[in-house]
Amino acid sequence: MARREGLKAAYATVTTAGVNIGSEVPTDFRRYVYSIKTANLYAGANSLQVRRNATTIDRIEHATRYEMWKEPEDPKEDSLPVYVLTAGEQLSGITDNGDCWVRVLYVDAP
Amino acid sequence: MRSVLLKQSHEELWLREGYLLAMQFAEGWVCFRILGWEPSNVKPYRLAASLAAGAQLAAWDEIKDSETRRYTEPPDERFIHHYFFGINHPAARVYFQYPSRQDRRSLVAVERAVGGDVGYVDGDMSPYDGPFSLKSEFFTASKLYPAFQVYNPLADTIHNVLLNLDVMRYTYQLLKDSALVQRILLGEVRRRMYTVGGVDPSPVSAPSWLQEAAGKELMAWTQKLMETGG
Repeated sequence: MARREGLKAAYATVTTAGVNIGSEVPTDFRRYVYSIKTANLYAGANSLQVRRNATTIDRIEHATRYEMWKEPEDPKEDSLPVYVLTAGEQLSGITDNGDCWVRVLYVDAP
Repeated sequence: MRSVLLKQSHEELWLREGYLLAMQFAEGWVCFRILGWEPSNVKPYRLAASLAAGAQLAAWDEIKDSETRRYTEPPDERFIHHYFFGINHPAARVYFQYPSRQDRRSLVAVERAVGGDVGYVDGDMSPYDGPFSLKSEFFTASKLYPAFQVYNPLADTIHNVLLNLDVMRYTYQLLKDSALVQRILLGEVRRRMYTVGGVDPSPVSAPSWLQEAAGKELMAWTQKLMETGG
């Protein structure tokens, strides 16, 4: 894992309209996302699509309200990143039924 | 997971005040005493924002700033520059010309080709954040600079093809006393030897200002001295 001084967190309440999660990846950097945590705020099943620009790169299915999901369960110092984005790309999310809270931990590095 | 070989830090190889440096050119050796030093760096230097699978740069890159001044060429004859570099992405293969337009690091009778498996440094050999490989080391002087080319051997586009250049700028005194030069070249005093560019087809030709300053006769004499051993 990258140096802890470089770790940053981004938070968003993702909606059915789609929401950016964090900033755009700066020039000459990659964004290494080491952890993602979600909590379903909708009273029922809710599917979250994690996107890199317009491309869906992951789907996280919630069956019930307040269901939480976390990957990895227990991040380690040498964990591999869950997602990698390149310069100019933007992490975002969109749901099919209602709101979903999302938190990611990431590092921007070359 | 990758394993990392422990290498000597390049920072142990910077020269300090009073150190002796002998540089071999096509015309002979030039000896310097280092008088002072000042660190600098270029990080990142972008060779390419992205490089498609199997692609290389459209042209050799002389490592210039936005106003086409070369980062690798000292702006004044008073300075010698000393470089090491690391490479991102790990698979990016960096090829070297020194001086610009003279291919280096061939192995067989024909010149190594960009994209071939011969004569490059990649990011595994010299990682972006170090430890830098000795293969990445070079010195430059005014009117003397290398050029770089990079190739992507992978089947996917690579992004952020970057160099991290660590730089030391030295001031120096040219040494022209033949007795001292002889002691330096024959190893009777502690010194650093460096063949500029390599040996194939020959070391780099010294810039004319340096030949004048060092003395052409003295340079020719150093070649005979090294051949005969004194």
